[in-house]
Amino acid sequence: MDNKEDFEPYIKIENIEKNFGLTKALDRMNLDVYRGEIVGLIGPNGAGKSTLIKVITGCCEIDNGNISFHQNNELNCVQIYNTKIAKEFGISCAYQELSLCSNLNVWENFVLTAMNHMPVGNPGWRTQGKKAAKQYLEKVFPNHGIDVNKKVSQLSLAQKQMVEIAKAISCNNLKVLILDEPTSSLTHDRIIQLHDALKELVKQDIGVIYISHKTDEIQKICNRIVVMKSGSISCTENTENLSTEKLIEILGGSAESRTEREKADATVSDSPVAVKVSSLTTDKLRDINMYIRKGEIVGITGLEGSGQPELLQELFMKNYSGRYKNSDDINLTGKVAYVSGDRKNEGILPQWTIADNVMISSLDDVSSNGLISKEKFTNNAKYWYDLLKFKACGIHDKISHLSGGNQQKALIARALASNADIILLNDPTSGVDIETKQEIYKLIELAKKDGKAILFHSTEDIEMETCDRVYVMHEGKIIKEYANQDISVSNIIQTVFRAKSEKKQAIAAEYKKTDNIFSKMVSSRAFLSVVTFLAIIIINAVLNKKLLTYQGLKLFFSSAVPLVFVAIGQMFIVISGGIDLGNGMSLGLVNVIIAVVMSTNFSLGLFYLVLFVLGYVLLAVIIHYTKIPAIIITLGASFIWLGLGMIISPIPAGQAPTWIKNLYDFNFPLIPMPILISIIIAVITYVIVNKSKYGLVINGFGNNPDAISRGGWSRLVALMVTYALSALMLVLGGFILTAVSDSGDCTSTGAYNMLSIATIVLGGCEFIGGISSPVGVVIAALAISSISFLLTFIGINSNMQSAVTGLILIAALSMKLINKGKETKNA
Amino acid sequence: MRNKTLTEEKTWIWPLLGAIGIYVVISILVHAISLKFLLVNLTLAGFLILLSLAQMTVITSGDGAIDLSNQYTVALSAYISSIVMINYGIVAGIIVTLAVCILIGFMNGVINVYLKVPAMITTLAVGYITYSAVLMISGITTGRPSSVIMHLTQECRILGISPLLYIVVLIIIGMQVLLYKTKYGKYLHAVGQNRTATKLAGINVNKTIILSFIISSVLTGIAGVLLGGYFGGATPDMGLSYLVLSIGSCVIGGTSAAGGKSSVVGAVCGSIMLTLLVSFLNLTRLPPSYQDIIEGALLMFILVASMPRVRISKFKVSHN
Repeated sequence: MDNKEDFEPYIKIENIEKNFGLTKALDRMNLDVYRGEIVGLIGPNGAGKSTLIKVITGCCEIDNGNISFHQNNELNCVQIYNTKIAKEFGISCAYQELSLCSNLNVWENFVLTAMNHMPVGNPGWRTQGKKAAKQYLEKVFPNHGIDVNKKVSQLSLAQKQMVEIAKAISCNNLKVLILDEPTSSLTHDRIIQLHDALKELVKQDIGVIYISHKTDEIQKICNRIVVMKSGSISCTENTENLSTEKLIEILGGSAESRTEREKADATVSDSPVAVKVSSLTTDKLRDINMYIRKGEIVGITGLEGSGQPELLQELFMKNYSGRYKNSDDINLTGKVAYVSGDRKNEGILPQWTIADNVMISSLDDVSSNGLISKEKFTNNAKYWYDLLKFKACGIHDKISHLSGGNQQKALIARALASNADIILLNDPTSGVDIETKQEIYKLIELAKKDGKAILFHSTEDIEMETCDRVYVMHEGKIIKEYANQDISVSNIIQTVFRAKSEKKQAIAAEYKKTDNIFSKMVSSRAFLSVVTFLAIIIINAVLNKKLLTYQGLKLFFSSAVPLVFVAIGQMFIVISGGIDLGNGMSLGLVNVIIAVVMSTNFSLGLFYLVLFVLGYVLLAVIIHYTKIPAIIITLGASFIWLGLGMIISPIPAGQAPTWIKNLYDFNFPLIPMPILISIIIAVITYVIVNKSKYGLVINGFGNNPDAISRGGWSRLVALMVTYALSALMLVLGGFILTAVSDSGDCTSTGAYNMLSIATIVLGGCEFIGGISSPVGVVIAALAISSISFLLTFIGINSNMQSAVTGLILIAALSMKLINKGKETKNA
Repeated sequence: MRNKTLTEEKTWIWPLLGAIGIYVVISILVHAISLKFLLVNLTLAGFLILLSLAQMTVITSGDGAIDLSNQYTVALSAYISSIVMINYGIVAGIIVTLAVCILIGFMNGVINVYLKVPAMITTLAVGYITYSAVLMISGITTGRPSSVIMHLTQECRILGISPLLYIVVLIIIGMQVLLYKTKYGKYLHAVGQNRTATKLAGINVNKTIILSFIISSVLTGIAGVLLGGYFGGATPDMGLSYLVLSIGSCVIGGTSAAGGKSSVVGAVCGSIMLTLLVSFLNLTRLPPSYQDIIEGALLMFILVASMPRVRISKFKVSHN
């Protein structure tokens, strides 16, 4: 293993280049990875480490360069490279931001990354999957204490990270394992376990790329250390030749000379304090004490994830929520403006012009009685446009057409224009070219001269040299303060990389206390629908003694079953992240097909029904390719369903085929038919959605499409299957509806649409996709259908039915909010 | 550098051309250019215009918001205005109806914002409650409008044109000013584009959203009162058929389904175009079933055709 020169590397990366706009993320990057070694990859923020990983895992295309793999005793350069090919070469990665489907169980996440793409698992695949997941977790983290049957969303952050790592290791045919900041939330003991597991892997001739900010870990575990800087390698050295001192020197080594600007003059230290934070402690911040004077630029730095953005957020929210004056921990004098470097998500309003984007925070200045003066608006916009020297055609250029740097200038102008006294800058120069950076520094200077208090967070340590004072953060705490001449990249890096991480004890953070049965019941998705259902049944039973007889129950539920099917159909579409607004009309179409066509000509009716299902599949295809929201497509389609139904029969006509009538009226022993059907459908959909392998895929796509696509599954197919299942449910619902009504009427089923949506909400489904509860939906459908019975019995006008439905909906959702509140408290 | 095409800037051009095209085809079919026919259709379109402006305000607030309660608010305001106006006079009727509409919009907004319920479900639930109220009221009154409203919406003509049209035009102008000339309009569009960014720009996002629901239900209420007058009575389901058409006309007119982009003129043109389209389909004397299919297919086609801009921008985002 020591004489690597004798071997060929398993992966050889040569002269890779990757640009994001003007930023060179990777600049002629080279890296060799051998089997049976651990390469430590270290470097300052923004050095291009994550981009490098994305290139190796095939998530990110390269602009230039070669990737070669050792194959059949020779090094082959790959021409086409993507996630699937990377997987075939045995590359597996545990991402820092995690790639788990939070709505699935732990072991299900393991199963989905396996390469077998058969829609149905072999008998016993669930048991095997659980066993494998347990084994891998046990192998890496002995006594892990993670219940593989738990949903990922219920795990603590540390547990999630453990799952992510074990999942990456479980990849079959593993050759190279990539770990991106694998220990960021692990306790000391777990880190040692991970390191032991890695040593085992190395013995099995597996290569590991270990990315971390923690120098002590890197030095302890890695054979070789690669230091990255601005997109390329600045040093490669065997670990034994690299002392901590030297490593830190290389990391902060070529500290560039201080930017030329006049350093803080004495006047600053006299000016009043604008921001004062005393003993602020939150989830992410611990005992923060700091202040900013007017006309002062205060920097805030540290490793990523040390709580810098959270601190800015706290300050902003204090001002935004309007309780900024008399509060113990934060004292602000004046208005706050926030400038984010995450322009896309937190900054620009993409459909607008430069003028609109600059002026949005200062409309008060240019309007009277709410009406905006066009002249003042344009004048002010022009003032800032000229001052900031935008590279654009004029103030009416669309902001999305500008470069990142110019967009950033607009955001800073927005803050300056707003007359705020305190300006919070959250990494404002990320992805901005050097020239614009200088301009931005000048703008910050300008604001300083204007007497504004400025808090400047940057992920680039060099920028701290533009500040008057700098706070260095570590694990949510301020650990060091530098002022004036002491501010230098090397000082900061010394502080940051020397900071010892406190040994986290394996206590509550990792092990959540086990829930008791009662709280489990209450937090169950089906809970609300069960309670509602029971309440309605009990009240009905008290008022009407005949209800709890065989015939009573049969009568009571016979008209409820169509809604059961329609709601289950709606549920499938909601799992995929859409909503069907046409299912009322399509139920009517199915109804007339069965009553009018099928009752006289069975095969023709069947043919029509097959066409109907295919129609739904076609909707899925349209939605997938056009990316138009499902809600709009299905709404448009509802006209077509109605029209087709009207062609078959514009007026109520036909009758139920005798066989279906007989079947539905059949007196099944002990259990009335409607209840029997409801139970059967609940069980079948439960198995499909929660127990089948393809159900996992569908659920996964609803939650985290990227994670599932990386596993090689097709999103289009999943969508088509979902819509076909939904249509099938509508067909079955149509059969029952026809049996109940004994005629076909395509105009009377519209109400089912809204009812089905109400039902799935009560039944515990979420509209964000991938979260459902078939049993809850079936019970909710029975409950909602019985509301009218209940009201009649109590003697309330049956017109109140929809109001009761609406109130139940609101109540149900409010309950969810309370539950959610509990969850966040637990987390 | 970048030449914005005319249709990209003025999204209402397509529906306007569409409306003119349909009118020309109709004129050819009936061998006459009938101004009366046009006026009748414009009056009919007026109701749709109000409802699509209402829908547009909510859609523009972004986050996939859509107002499903409107279809019931139409009927409720028709009934309530009829009862109060006949018993207590016109002014009282207007005040009470407006108050009820504001309450509905306020409920929508508060539930959506503070209980964090998706707008669709919120408005559905509130819509249900509204519908119950409609059913209760419809049991005790015929919903026959007061004689003043009847006269105003039916026979009365000012300069040969129904007062209905004047009211609609005034509201259109009002909305044009509100959405593009006021602070609130700017805030609404900002909220629709990016709620986080808008919040970080220091704007009260919650207030903006709640107001958008209130504007929506008030416009809907006005449409309900006028609609009840025009047809000489209210029915519980009088608003249902307008849901699809109102969403359709604003999206066709250039309103982004994702929010943040609206066009009052576009929604107006879209409403006129769809109203003419329905009239045209009526004129063809095709069975209603075929009319429905054609209407649905055309609507889907028009929506797909008016979408590509959105599609391209989404594509870009996914590659960033």
